[in-house]
Amino acid sequence: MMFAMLSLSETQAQFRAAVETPDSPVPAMLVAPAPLAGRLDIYRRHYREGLTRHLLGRYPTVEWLLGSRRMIAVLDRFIVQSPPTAPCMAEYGQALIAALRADAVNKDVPYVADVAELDWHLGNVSVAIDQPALEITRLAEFPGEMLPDLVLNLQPGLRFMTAGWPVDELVRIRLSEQQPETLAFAPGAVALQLRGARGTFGIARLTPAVLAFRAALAEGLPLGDAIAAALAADAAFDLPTGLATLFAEGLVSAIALPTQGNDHV
Amino acid sequence: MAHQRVPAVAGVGLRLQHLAEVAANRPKAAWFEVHPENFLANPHARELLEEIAEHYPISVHSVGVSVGSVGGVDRAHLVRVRELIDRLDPIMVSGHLAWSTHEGDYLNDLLPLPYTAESVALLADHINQVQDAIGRPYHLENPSSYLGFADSTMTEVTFLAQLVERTGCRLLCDVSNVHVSAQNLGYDAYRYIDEFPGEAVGEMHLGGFVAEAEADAGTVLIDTHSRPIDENAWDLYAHAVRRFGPKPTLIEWDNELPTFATLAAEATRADQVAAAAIDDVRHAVAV
Repeated sequence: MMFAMLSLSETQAQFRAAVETPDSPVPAMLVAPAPLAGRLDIYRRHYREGLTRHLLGRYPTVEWLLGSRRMIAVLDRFIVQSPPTAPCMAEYGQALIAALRADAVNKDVPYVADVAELDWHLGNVSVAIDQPALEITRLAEFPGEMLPDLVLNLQPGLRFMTAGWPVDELVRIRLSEQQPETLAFAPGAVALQLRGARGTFGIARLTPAVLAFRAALAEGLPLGDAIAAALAADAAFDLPTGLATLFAEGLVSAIALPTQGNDHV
Repeated sequence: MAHQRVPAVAGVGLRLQHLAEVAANRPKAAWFEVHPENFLANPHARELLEEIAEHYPISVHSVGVSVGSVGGVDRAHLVRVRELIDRLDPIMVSGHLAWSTHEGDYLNDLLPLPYTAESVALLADHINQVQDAIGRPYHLENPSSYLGFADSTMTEVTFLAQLVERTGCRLLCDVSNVHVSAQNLGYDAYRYIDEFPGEAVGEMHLGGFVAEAEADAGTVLIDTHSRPIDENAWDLYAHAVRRFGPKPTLIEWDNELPTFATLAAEATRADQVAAAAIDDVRHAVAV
């Protein structure tokens, strides 16, 4: 077969299009001593199956919820719309949460995006490394008037999220050995703390005020702003208890003033 | 220099599933090879790897430094890989004769290149960039191929030789890939090894593959890294050792991962095959 010699840029554009579009014709630039469509299908399969396998690993509860066939259909669409942009595959796939939220196909499972968000966070916290935790007595090293400006660094393996459904129950059921025949699952807001390290994770429900307090600290806001966020969520927020439990659970790994730069304790 | 510590014996590809076991039990192994991409966003795995690196030589084998992409090398990724290299001080750094990125997207596979003067120029430029960034020689691995390009103007071996000449890079001869590609594209694997730029070989790889039936009743070999090393690949490996001399050789197994003991047994066999091949050479010289 005669064809014009292609630039490398044209070659790679054509090859990519052929890999991403399974039913497209085989580009004339390719040769093999065997049926070419079958040979090209090897690359097509590797591309699709590799990404699908990765995403199934990142969203085990979503797959459990939707079933493998429906999940793979979801992922087929997602991979076309949002291919990876970097070689570190552990970082690929967060956009599936927003895609599920926007996807009308999944309206019969209105909590699926919340489940996806939970799966994503659990995957991230479970590979974190805990830092040595500080005792609350370390706060006494700072003058009282400086307390509102203090920044409390929390453990790396912490995430906070809210959901309109008790999606943490679904994870617990998936991981339990005895799964119920049926499940009464009703809307109900939950505020969740996800904590993990070195291959393990745990899920705790928080009050809205405690979640607001801890999430603000996790964002790097000063203690004063975190207290304001907690009080905005619940005017009855109990600061002494909130601080005491924060330290008692080993969640604080460093204390600093914003102006101190690296002068952590 | 790190490359002076390279043991010319068989090592094992260290995957995430075996990290904790290796860190805890420190099994007998000459060296390990890791994919840096598995550790860039996994602090726990990285912690274990750095602990393991205190006791074993480590080779870094990137699957994401795409030296064949027309869009250029992903500098941000290269910086992250360099940072890991600085921490591990590996005995070797290697990657693939392939392209994986296109217009800002990562295609998660090692895609083939036409062997042309344009490709040589592009890859030479990119390999030089990589070597400058990592501050040490880059070992380039021959691909497993299922098809070729009509406008290739040179053989793969000639292509690799030109890259060595232009960049001073080293070569990673994946013997299983040679067998797979030769079977799939209809050339002589032994001749490929005979013509390979042996003086540039710094490492060899051995991995398992599966055979699939094709529409024309033929058979295609798929480089799955999911099986024991095939007997044909062992024979070709012996030929490669006779030709190149003993080199650090990696047992690659990425899918359907067996026990670590199985991998270690494959590494032991590689050492036995290499020793027998060297004996063959000594005997031939003596005779």
